[in-house]
Amino acid sequence: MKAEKRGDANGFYYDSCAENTLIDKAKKGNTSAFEELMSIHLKVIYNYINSRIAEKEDVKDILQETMLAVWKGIKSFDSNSSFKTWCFSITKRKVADYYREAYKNATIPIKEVEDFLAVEDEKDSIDTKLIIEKAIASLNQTEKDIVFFAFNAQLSYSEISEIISIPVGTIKSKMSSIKEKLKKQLANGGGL
Amino acid sequence: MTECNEISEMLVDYVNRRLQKVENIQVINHLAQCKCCRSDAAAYISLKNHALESMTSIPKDIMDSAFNKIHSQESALDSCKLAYETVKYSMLILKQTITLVRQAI
Repeated sequence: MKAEKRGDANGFYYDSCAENTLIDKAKKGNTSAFEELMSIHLKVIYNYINSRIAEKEDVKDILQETMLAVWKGIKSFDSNSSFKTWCFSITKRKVADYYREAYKNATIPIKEVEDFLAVEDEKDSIDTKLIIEKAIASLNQTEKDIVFFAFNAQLSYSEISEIISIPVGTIKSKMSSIKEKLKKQLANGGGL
Repeated sequence: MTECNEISEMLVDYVNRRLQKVENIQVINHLAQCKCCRSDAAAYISLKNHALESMTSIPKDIMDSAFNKIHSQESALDSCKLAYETVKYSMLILKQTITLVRQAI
């Protein structure tokens, strides 16, 4: 049975029945079903990796590593939980492994350091879009992850909690603090 | 204020359109009369819009190679299976040959 794709522009997938069929096929070793299943989530996964890692070749490698880890682990995936959440947990772990390795070797540039948004005297800082970018750039990594998983991946608080291993209540309060920071910066025209 | 707290917890799901119809109506009705929560919702909408705008398509070379490691592993596995079958078959022939030689002796 060919799965019906009903994802939006960001690759979100709503037909859980078709998704489960693909998962079942992938569990039996069907690589085509696995690729079809992953193509639904690939864009968001790629964007998460790309937002965390600067080197294009490394992004490519981590994406391949993530796909391999999901493929290897799919047999033990418990269908009672969300497949998307499970994939993001693996992606986040792979990025963390990369940084652990990078820290050991201390040779890999970290994207946050290069982020042009950190430049304080940006000419167009009055522009709302840039204010938001600056506000996001000023967040710590956990807060950035919360924003990514909430708005890019559009996950619920409980799903985010599952991925980043922080209680739901803490996620809510962090989100509220992120919002307050953003509102403050918007009110100040981007000034911190 | 209690209602604001309750609505505040639903705002992210509201902007992501993940709420059930009843909750959605509850949020809309509250936003219509609460300037503070409207401003919170606007902040989340800005974050969501920024998030969606910042999502990039996967470059072709990365897309094309995403499953390469799986293919390599599967292909290596297939080679191992083939090698195993070949060895198994060779052993069988060897065993039969030994039997025939013993009978001849």
